[in-house]
Amino acid sequence: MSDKPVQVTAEWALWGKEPRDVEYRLLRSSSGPFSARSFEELITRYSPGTLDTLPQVSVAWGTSSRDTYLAMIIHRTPRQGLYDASGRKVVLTYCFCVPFRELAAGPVSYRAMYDAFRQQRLLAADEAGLKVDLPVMSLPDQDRGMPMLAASLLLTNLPVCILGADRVDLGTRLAFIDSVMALLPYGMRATLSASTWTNSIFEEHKFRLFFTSAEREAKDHVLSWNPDRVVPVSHEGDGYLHWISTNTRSKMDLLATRTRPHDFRVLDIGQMVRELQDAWQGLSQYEADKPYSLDGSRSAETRQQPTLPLPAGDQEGMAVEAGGAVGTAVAARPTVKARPKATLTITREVQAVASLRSHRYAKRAHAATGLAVKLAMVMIVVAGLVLVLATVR
Amino acid sequence: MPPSRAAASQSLTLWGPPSTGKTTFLAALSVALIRRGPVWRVVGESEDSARRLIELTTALTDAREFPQATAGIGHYRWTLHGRVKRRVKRRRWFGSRQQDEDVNVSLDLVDPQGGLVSSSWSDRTAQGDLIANLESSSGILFLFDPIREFERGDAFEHTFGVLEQLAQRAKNRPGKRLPHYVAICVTKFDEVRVIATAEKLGLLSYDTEPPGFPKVADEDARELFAELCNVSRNGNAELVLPLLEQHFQPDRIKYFVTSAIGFYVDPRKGRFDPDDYQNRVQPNPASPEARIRGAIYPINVVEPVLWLSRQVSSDRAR
Repeated sequence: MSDKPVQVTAEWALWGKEPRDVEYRLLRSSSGPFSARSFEELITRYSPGTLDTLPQVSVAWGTSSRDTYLAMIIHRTPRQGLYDASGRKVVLTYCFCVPFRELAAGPVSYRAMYDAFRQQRLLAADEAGLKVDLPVMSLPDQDRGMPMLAASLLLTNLPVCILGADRVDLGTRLAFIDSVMALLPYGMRATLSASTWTNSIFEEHKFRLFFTSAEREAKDHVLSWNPDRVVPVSHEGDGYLHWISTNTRSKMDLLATRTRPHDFRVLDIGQMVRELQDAWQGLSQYEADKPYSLDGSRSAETRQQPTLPLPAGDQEGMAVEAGGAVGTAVAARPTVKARPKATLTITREVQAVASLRSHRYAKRAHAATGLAVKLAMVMIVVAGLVLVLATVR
Repeated sequence: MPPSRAAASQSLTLWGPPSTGKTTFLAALSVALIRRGPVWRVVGESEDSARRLIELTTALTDAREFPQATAGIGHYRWTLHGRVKRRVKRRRWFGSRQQDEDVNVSLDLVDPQGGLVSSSWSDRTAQGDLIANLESSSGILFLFDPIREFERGDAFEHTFGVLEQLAQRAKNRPGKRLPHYVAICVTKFDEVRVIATAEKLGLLSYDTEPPGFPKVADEDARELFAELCNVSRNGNAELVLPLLEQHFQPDRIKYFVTSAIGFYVDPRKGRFDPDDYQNRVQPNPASPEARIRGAIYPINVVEPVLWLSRQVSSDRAR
């Protein structure tokens, strides 16, 4: 992974009130392709409700005619107390929208975005958008148990609610959201809505992953920050949890390269999991031919993995044949030796190789089917001729 | 998932333009019940609801601050515990007698962001959520702020669109009006201009009990509402009253003149002072920050809630 920062162009907007206002409104915004109207829609749609503790951060998404944007919404108290025309305290909302493809080029974490954007002073001169250098994401090292569970539950297309984190600081909550998303393909960030806090009395909010103080009357998966309860995982989420819980570090490397935007709808998730499975098979095969490690910890981890013996001379075919459950791919993984250094480019190469192999096998299958159809047709014609001759005699 | 709510629960939605005092109204409910006597009290249905109730109440009584503007839609799940008199039958030939009975009324008080009802609001989904809440409500508390109407004059804009959408959803009830009970609350009775208007119309009377607050009888509240609509900034407010009466059944509407914080009472005198009664103050003339000057004496905060609750209960009992 390259350490070179990624330069992104962030469209921005400021939402709040001036002392003469009673209603919140868009105070200022950049004049780029993400229009003022789009900002208004995005900020009002992804409201976390009335916030008692500030700052808080939400992530969301929106589109312009050209691009899909990842939005970071920061709610904060003004430096000097600000009151509206009714004498009530005002909360300011800063919204930054970055083309997703620019972030995916890193890739870039939410934490890095927050660290960069919270420092920004929005000036009239920045109307064209802010040019910001963002560091490339490093994979989180924190405990992965709960993030794994949350990640697999997100794939069930139901929101995931985290309770009991009232006293956990903002940075830790944002890092948790990063950790969860590091366990899913990076492209899923293109349609994620998440918040470090939502007001529990606002039940109609639109977040998929959120922290709050009480569960709502909705079909959410509920997780406790200090896990003291068993959370049922649906079959769908269970399969992914099984897959991600082995060779996690390597799989996170793979997931970071999967930057094509993905929706959370169930059909798309099925497709995404199949693609992941193929890519992981390809990666496994590549590793068998030419072992490597992304870092020291990974090589140690991969060496410890139990492996199943491969049929002699059938290594190439494995990538295609090991279909079915995601877990199968893990069981069929060949032994991996350490290699001192590698970059993400290798993983992308592997994906390309896997894709080529899939294509080759698909072509062979297609040719075989065609031959069978032709043979059947010839036999029908011959049978017809015989029948005609017999009738004439 | 939290335990599902009892079938007997009543959903009451507050409705009104921004800054009409919806959240302050709810924040004052607990104090209003305490001041009313031992019969009724309000309790949070869950730990979280109880915490919200405490926060809202203490913000008014201890911090003497007005609540933050609501963002999105707030659902306050509280239960009213109280005693009511019920007529029970005696054995035959002995007629009936009145008997005290303990009742619990489970309330889902829905407090939406005022801006959601605006025609210029960008997020149609949030607006749809509000309409859905209003539609499924047992009763509606409509808050009309005459001060805001005088300064901005947008009550009609905020009312018309919502009513049209509600009516559209109820279009399979041909010829019928919307079935909700509506408590129309003219808010900010503690403001000088509202008191002056009531006085000019001869609608003002004074409590005989200390501290001797001024009041407008419920039967005169509609007249005050109509008069205050006439001094709207853009003249459209005079349409609000007929609009509401056109959409809801007139026998299901009741008018109240209310104030969440009430009048200021000097603790040394303990009586209402007609020359010094403003409870909402602006400590720093350079800043619009508003504070509450003294103890709060909510006026007609409990009454609309109890009225709605009784109407809905009696409807269900039929």
